Amino acid sequence: MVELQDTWSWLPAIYLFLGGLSAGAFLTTAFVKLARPGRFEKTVTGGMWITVGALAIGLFSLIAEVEKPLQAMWVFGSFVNPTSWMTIGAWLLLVAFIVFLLSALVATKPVAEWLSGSWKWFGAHRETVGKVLAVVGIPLAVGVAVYTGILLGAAGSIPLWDTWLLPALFTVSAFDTGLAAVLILATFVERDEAFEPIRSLLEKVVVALVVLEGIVLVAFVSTMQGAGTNEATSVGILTEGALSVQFWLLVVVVGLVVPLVAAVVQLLVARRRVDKAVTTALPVAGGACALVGGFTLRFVVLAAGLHAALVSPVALEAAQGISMFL
Amino acid sequence: MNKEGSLTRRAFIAGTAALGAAAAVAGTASQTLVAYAADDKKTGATSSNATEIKHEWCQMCGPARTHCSTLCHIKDGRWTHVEGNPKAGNNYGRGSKTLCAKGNAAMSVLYAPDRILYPMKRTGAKGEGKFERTTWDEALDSIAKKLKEQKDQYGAKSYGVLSPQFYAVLGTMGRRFLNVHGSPNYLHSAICNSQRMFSRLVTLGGPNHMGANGTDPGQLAKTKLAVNWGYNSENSAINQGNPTARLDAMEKGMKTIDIRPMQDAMASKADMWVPVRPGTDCALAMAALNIIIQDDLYDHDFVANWCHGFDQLAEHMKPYTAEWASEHTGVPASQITEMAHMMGTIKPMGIYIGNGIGDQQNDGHWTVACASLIEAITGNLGIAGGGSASMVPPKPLIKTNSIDILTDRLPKTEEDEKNGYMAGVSDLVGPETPRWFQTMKTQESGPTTAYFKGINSILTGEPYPLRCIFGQSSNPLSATRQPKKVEEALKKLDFYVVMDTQWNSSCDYADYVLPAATNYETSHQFGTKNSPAGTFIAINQGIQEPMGESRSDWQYYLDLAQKMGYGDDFWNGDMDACLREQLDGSGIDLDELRAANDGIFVERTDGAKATEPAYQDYAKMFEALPHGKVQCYNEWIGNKPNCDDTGTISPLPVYNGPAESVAGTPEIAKDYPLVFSDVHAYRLCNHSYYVDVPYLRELQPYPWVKMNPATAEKYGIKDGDWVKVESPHGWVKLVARTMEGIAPDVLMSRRGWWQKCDELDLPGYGHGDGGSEVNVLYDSDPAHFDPFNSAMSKQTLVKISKTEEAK
Amino acid sequence: MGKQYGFYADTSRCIKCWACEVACKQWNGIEPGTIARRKVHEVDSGKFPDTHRTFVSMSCMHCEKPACKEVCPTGAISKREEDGIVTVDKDKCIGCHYCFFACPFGVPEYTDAGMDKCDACLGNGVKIDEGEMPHCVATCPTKALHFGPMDELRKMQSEKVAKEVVSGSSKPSFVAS
Repeated sequence: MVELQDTWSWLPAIYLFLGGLSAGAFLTTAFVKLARPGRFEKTVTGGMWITVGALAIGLFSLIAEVEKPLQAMWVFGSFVNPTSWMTIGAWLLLVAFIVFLLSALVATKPVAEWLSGSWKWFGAHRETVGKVLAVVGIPLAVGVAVYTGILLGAAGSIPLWDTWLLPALFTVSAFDTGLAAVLILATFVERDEAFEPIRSLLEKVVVALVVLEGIVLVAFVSTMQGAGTNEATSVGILTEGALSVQFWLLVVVVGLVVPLVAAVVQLLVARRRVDKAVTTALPVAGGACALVGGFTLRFVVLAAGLHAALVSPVALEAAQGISMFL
Repeated sequence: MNKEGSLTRRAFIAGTAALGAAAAVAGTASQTLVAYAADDKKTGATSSNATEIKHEWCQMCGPARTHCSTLCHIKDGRWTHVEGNPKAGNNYGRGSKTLCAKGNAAMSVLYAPDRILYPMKRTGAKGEGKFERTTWDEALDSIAKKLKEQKDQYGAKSYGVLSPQFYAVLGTMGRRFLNVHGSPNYLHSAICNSQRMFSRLVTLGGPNHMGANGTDPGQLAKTKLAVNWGYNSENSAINQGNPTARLDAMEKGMKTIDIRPMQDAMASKADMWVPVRPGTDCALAMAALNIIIQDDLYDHDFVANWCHGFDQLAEHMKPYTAEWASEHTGVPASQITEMAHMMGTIKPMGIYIGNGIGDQQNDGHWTVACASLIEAITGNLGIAGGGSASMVPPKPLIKTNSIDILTDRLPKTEEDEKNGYMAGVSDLVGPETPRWFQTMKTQESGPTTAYFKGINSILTGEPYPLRCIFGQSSNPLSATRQPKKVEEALKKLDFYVVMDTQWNSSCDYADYVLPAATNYETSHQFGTKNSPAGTFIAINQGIQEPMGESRSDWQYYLDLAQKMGYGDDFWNGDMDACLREQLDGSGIDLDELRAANDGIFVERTDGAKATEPAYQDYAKMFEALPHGKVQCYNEWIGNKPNCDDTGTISPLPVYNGPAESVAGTPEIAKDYPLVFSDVHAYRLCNHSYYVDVPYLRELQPYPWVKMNPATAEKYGIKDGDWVKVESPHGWVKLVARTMEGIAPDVLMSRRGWWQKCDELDLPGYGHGDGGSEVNVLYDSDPAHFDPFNSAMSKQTLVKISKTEEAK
Repeated sequence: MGKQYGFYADTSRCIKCWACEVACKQWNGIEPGTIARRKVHEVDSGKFPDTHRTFVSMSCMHCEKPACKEVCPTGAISKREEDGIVTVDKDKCIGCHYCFFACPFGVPEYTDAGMDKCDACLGNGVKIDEGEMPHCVATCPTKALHFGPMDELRKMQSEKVAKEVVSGSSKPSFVAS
């Protein structure tokens, strides 16, 4: 049997997951901020810092993955070839990180206060700055989410990744996991009862996202199954092969079904009197499961991403006159 | 996808730097302390930025070999790269820079981190591994004293020397010492080329041992069918011209039949692969011979005029049909018939008779004899494209002298006189061929005892036990059958001296272990290559001074001779004097030779070319044979005493089979259903050595056994699993490697594996039960050995099961 | 561009002796137990006794349109004008491994110096423009491996039964028979 792909393993999986999560978290937080300016500060501030933290750890994982981390960190020198999606991504991540970080700083009361004190202009335009950063950050965040999938597809020699459905899947998952992270946070820190409608809306979005992600996942899997031997073998690793347990249990059940059920139940019990424990447990459990599923999704997609050169049984008849690599 | 030993893209182990890591190696309980630091090594070469080039004969087919001339690139005193010397005419000729995988890794041999550096003297019990450093003087004095004592007490015959594969040092210097000392006990391996030469000599004739008529195609370009019968040159002689020459001929339409248990590389290109069951080639040969006779595919003219006893042979062979052979060999009768028909009808035909069938089966002699008779009766001897008809090269332009082995110095005993034996033969402790048979014409360099029988004498005391054995470049725990018996013998042996580059697994039983230098540290051997273009001569220049206190294998004999009082016969210790003697009259001066960084090539200017031999000169070819004819009924050895004097040799082919075989011993086969054998030579090692060379070990890190996937599945084994392999004689642990190109009831492995590889953090494996030395599995009863040439079987029956990883 | 150089593997002559692998390693100073720029691949088919084994020695394909070069973020990979050999500037390489995923043949391997792959022995001083051969080719005992301008190699290949071992949009400079 073929070995699983392990050149990009845990660290890139963490980066893809946290990068996506940070994008989704930013979008969620920016939405809350723009929809209800000045309100729900704990959630907004926390959400921004989750964004920054996730992206920082994600970037750290990415840097740690390369053979020469210190050299890679010097972005200006190292990411110069414009034909490479990795170059585009590196710059995108750099700019996004700066914007996210500024956003988070501005959203943090003590920092904002200090800045206002020492920089008059800022003090006067504090609210606007925050809004502008949020607005500017939105397309950047979308870019980051989409980019994680494009990076893999742009490589070109991994049949499993060679489809627009992969960035689609990663993007939906990014929104999904980012949203889950913010919801978990809000469950613990947001005391403002006026948050309920927002929460409710967000839970509905969770439902929509999970359903959408399920559809995209099905599309992805079935497209791969029908695309050719190489693709089918790769996706077979997920659906019935070495990673099938991780795929079905962690990605599908834990990552999609459980959050969906948790969100639906939440919406149903919202009108009733239920134990505080339940209203805490549901979103946290659902969210946590979404996070587990999201990470596992990245991990198994990487691990099943076998080289065209290695995956095909037909490849093994190569030099006897049948085409090996096409 | 190469599954065998495949590396993932992760670093295998973050080991120390590859070539020549000057790491201090701490001794373990069973190893001596051989720590050294980089500055202990004397480099001796000039230090400059430029690359220096030195000439060396490659050592990777064994020490003291001169097959491939190499150019060693040295940077700052360190040997870094190596390539074939285009000046010399290696492989396919002048201009060739080719080398095999081993040759490309030769530096490791010089810089091996666990080289023995100093003479070591045992202080503890045998096998304990307690040794202390001593001096050469002390060691040689003790050895000399012991040899003299034993000569007085037991006679010089009590001293025997282990012969590894053909080894120039032993064949010349070592034999010379034996003769001067008075012992005939050159313990020839009896699993080697010699066995085939003996058989060819008595069947097809020839002027002497080395000149025995043979069956291999002499002019491949004219051969229509080449039969590779147990012939393994894609493992044993990769760079020595034959795989390439055969491939050239195959490209031009030559057909090949490959008769081997495993579908090796050349077999995968053959027109017909005959997957013969290991140990049964004699049955196959007998049937093929029979079919050719019965189906009237032989050359009537040749048979009538040049064969003795054909009618008796024809009658005798009748029962040995394809069906009979099929039962023993596992090859379908139809394929046996087809194979025989091809051999009988496609002409010119030549047969490469390999080591595995002629030297390493109980029926070695009759296998070779039958194959030889096939070649003969089909009229393929002495014809262009057939056997014994090679092109005659023009004379070498540089004529050197061999080292005189002083045969006449070995005294004839009374027994010798009485029986009409050659000098020393009656003193042989376990003759390799019958005593009456051994003459300077039939033997390679003098009287020989079979290696295993010599060691066995220590256990049995019959006819007398050897008292001292010297092992140089040979590990008896891997080189012969049943290491458990060898270990016992070494424990009992009075005095055992080993000279080696590394601590081989028998060293713990030695009294003295002496540090050997490699070809790359001394300048004591030259070699020549002659071709129509001219003659090439070159000497090992020495890349650096010997590591530690190691000495050249040649020098050892000279030094010991001094201590023994034989100095006058050994140039009084001056190896250069010996070399000058060898070069005397050649027109080449020793210093001139030593200064030649890529050897000396003397071009042929008289336009002389290789000429065709005298074809079908049968009167001359068969001169030495009884009646001057090919021995279909063998009168030379037939009805005469066998090598152990326990009976007589049959004059006509006999099939015995291995001690344990599917068809021969069905009762054993019930419990041990699979046939097991091993490849004698392999392209990543030299017999049991070089398993420590990192570039070679990383390609095959673990001792392996190849099996058919169906067999693996049957026993719940997956490719890469450790398996226990057990025969009636012992058991080993090996890693399973599946391949379709092997019969479901056959297993093939590789022996040795006692060396560890520190750079890759891989262990060496033991030689007893539970280790990985497959010689533990085979029968070792001398009564089963070939009665004419002592060939020993390396085939047995085993059972297998999945097991825990070997330590 | 000057002529495109590449390799030609003659599987009818290859005996999987591994000389090319080891020659490559020793001449390029590759640490044992790490990577292999050249590998002898085995392809099997059939069931006993009708089995086929074929061996093909392969390294970097020095593609006409190297996918690795396209995706390298630092521009460490370049293709030489004079002979089309694709080389890696290890100083620029950060070891992000992206080239491995781009290469249709899975060629790139990595050490802590960066990406490592066949450079037709340019790095160890072989002058291919003067007709010198990379060491794998020079060492092959059965003349199963050849190197040179692709048009010459195709001519050699045409004398035997060509095998389509590799092909692809990156246009590998490799032929086999």
